[in-house]
Amino acid sequence: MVGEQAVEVIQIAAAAMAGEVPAERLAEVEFAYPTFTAIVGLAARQVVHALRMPLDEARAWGALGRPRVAEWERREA
Amino acid sequence: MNAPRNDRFDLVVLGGGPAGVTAALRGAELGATVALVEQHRLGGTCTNDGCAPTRVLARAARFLRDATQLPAYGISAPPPTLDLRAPGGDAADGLPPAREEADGGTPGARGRRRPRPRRHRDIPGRERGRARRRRLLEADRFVIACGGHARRLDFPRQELAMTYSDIWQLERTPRSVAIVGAAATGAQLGSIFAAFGSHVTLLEVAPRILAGEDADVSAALAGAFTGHGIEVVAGIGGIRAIEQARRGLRLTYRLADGERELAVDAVVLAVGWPGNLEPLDLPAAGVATERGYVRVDETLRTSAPNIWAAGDITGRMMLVQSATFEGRVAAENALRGDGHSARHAIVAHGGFTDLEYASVGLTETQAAATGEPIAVGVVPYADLDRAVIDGRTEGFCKLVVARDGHPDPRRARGR
Repeated sequence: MVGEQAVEVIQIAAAAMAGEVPAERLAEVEFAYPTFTAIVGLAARQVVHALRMPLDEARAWGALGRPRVAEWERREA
Repeated sequence: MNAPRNDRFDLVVLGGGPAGVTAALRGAELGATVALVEQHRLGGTCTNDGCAPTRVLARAARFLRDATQLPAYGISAPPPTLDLRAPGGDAADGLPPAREEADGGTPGARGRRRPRPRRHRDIPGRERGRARRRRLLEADRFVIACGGHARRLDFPRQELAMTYSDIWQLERTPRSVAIVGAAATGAQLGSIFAAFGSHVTLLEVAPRILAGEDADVSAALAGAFTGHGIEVVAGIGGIRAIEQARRGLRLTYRLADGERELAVDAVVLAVGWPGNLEPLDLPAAGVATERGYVRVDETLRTSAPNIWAAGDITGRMMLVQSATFEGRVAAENALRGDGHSARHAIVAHGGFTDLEYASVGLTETQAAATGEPIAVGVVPYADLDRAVIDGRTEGFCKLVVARDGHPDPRRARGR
């Protein structure tokens, strides 16, 4: 990742890896607002969005541009 | 008065940086008698002239950058000025580890058992006037954690260039500086010098800066650096020479289509970090080396059965957090014979550049190369409310997972 406080934010990803936290679980964490670390939760939700699609469809999505999610959205559509 | 003094320990640790201090403290925790030998000051490169003082400079750079935002928040203040002699002085002096241990003797004075030593090393003591005190330390087991040093390249007048360890001598910011090597160290120094007002040229042999990072991270950093006025030149064919010019230095480097010259005030080499092998008579101890580092197996044991190594001198992972991990594992394996693996599985790391970057695990390219189907999420900082509030909307977060949701594609198969 690149951006403000990236070296701090990455720690949450490292902890998630160490705990083998699946993306679906990470996407459900209610991160404090407004924080930089919350961007990991947004990225996880985007991944979950992709995972719920068949692979071919996900690739097509990728070709169209990755979907954006608002930070205050609670769940994927 | 100068006669050797014999001392026997369960464990002798050579080197008082993060790996050595951790090994010594872990050994003491395990109840062993431990001697820690350090040539200079406890803390090693990290604390004394490495990442910690550099972080102080990065903090100064950050203050300068933040000052440009003050008007956006309704604050009026004169533009700040920098005194390069100050950062790294008082601020760095407050950094860990606890230096009192340097004068307080060796950590781990607790006695547990004092088995008959099988090996010993004769270690020079500190110079005191004309007399060199020598002290003979004996131990069952040793951990070598003597760190590394900045590499110098072999080209004409290379001695005119500085290395990482020399920049603390600067009393004023150079007007222009060429930094050779744009991996973590070079990128960070370039970003700091640019914030201090230098015109920076980053020269890199690899096709992109931060070549070990995700390609998107490299591209974003290169873009940010260019935006800060840093000239990024990747894919050079090497340095031909440095010459003393009438004012400053003239650096000649190679490109595919010929040579280029740069007129600069200073040149900094950030091109690698070989192990500190020279002060050690490793062949006498039966310790094999390769490519400038002590060779170790996955348990950090060297080719000598009673000697382990940890930290930069192993050449495995040049990071403080990894050195600390290795120091702990080396001490445990040396004293308990656990045979624990020191595989670096999850290593979070990054650089305090502008923009900051960080990563853990595989890059997208590496993850795809595992053959495991992956899913990728990328969120721009501009989508993050905090980034908007703070006026720091540059950057992105990329999350790469296996398509079964596992956070590490290397370990997803077979779940």
